[in-house]
Amino acid sequence: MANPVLQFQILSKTPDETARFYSSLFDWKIDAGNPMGYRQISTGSKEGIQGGIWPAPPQAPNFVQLFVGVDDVKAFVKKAEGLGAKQIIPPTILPEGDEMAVLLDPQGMSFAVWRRAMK
Amino acid sequence: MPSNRIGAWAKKLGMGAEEITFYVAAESASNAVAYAQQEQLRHWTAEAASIIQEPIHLQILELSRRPNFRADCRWIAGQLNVNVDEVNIAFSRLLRLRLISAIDQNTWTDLTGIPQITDREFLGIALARVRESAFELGPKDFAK
Repeated sequence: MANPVLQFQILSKTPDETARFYSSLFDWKIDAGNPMGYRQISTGSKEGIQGGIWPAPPQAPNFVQLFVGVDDVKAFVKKAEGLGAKQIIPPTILPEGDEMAVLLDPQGMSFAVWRRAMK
Repeated sequence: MPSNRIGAWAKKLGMGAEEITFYVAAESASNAVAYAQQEQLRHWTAEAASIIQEPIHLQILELSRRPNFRADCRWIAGQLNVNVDEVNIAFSRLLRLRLISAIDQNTWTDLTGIPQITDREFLGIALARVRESAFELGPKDFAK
């Protein structure tokens, strides 16, 4: 199975302001109507990937994370750790059934591995 | 070396103002390792401060044990009278510190191991996890 980037995620200390800026600039649609209140971004294009905005804690910078699609989150976490990555958030099932984990790569950049829920 | 001494010596050597500014700035920025360590310390201090000052973390754990618990951050926000972003920031922190887990889409599990945990017990466990995480993750970026 290939492992494409399925989604980008903007972590922002001021998520509402970030949502307002990008929706005004690019006419992106922001929808938080889900059990996590997650601000899902729809760019309105079939090209590229869609995204989301997550609230960052006050001590963190604003930054972007990539969510990479996998078929087995635990297996990829183990593989990543074998390559020198560290777990930040362990494998976690989200309220709508998606599973994800967040890792720190050996160079210090965080990324997520993500298995979409079977619908 | 104090910046005024750098400035005084540089002037005696006939350096221009822009060059002096560069050398003063370079002296402050010379220690990248110390800077990374300071950033790490700042991050983990902020994590500890949040645990100490914000009751939402223990409140989420207590809610998760209730039979009517819903793994729905909007519901949790309503129960605790906070906004959903506050729930998500606290939930992320609890996950990072291995104080909670979500192994299916309907259940969050309190990982403290203490059924009727008091505020003081929670603080002790949570701050110990902050310290462990600080050692484990090292001087890198770890906002989430």
